[in-house]
Amino acid sequence: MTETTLLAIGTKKGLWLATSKDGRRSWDVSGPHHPMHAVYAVAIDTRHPGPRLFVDTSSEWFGPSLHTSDDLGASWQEQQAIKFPEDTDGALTRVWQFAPGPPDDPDLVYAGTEPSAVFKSTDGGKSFELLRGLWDHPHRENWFPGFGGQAVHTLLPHPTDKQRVMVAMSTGGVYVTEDGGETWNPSNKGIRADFMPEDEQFPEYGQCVHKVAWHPAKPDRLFAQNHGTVYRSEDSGASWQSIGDGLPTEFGFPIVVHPHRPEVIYCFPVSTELRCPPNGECAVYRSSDAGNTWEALRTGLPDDFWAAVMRDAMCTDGASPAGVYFGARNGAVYASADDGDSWQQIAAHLPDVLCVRAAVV
Amino acid sequence: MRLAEAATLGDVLDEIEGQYPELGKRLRDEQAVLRRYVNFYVDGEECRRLGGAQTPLVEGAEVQIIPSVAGG
Repeated sequence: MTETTLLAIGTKKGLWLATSKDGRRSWDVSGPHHPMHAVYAVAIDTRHPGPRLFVDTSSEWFGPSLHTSDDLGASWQEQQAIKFPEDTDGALTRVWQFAPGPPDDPDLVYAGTEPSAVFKSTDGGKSFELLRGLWDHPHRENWFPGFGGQAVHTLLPHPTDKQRVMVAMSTGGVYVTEDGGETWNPSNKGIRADFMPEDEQFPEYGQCVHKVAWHPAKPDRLFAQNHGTVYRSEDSGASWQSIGDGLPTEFGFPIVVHPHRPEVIYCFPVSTELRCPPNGECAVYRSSDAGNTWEALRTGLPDDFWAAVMRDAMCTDGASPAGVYFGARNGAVYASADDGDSWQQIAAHLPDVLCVRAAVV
Repeated sequence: MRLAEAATLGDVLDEIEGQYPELGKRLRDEQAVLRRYVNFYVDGEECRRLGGAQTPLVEGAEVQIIPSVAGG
């Protein structure tokens, strides 16, 4: 029997779900689910039968809500709201990231939020608790919102060490806890803040890190798409080195790692000035040697493509060969079923795509 | 809705929150701040031109809650 692949597409005005039952050759697209709600964060938690979908829906009028579905979006259950405690001055704008914990702890889920904070659930997402160590961090007053808002947009719970979680925010940069969230230390050594004065471009924190990714089998090696270029760390984030040489422009938002080959990574460079692919030539860039060299993947991708891909709007599925997906702010969604070698458009004219997630279900 | 004497708009919203928490959170955030694009009229006057959530209510007061026309 052919596997079913699910692609969840979060947009500024709702969620669309694309399914393929023929080896990712054709796709049925349904939606909008949660119309007129911005979907910045969606997760497909394959640790649960179903699997369980998590989606944050935020309304310009009525604020954010958390919904889950265990039947591939046929029905949705509104869960208890993620709330800042009364004694904080915080109020949730929206969730930017859901991060299921390791497979051996299926009820552990993290949420990264705007304003910048991390919440933890130990009951499969029914309730979430603020990790106060990051909220009370003395650096917090110096974190400033990037254009998109002040949010924890990246959450990487370590696959084996439950005490260790890495987060990233724009601005603020990368922080790591090694004691389950009690204390957090900045982890930005070597990352340039090129929007700062020349002699202050390597601060301890305050960088505009757009996205960080790793492969669960090799969590000591990290990749970051920063505001200025792309970086790699070989020491769990203690230090970072630029790997931007070979890209047409070093600005971009997403970075993802191949599901089975930890040395293969993908990004979507956009020009600093236009925030679009250089010359409008839509291209995913792939490195097969952990960022030492890059190649443009353009087969099936259009010219005259004047839109950016947001930080969470590129992903892979768990299949082999890997499916790679991205959606753009012009509402176009592309899929590759062959590790990125060739692409097909599977949706067009959707609202701005904010996030995509895919899995074999 | 029956309220204590010297009730305010905030007391009405507390009552709604108690009875219908999923509605309540759509009207105010967790710090009880009125959502920006939801308008609350007390006897025909938008409460932000009065005392906000502290706007006092008289016996028989009419409260209307209307999402504003916004966005695009």
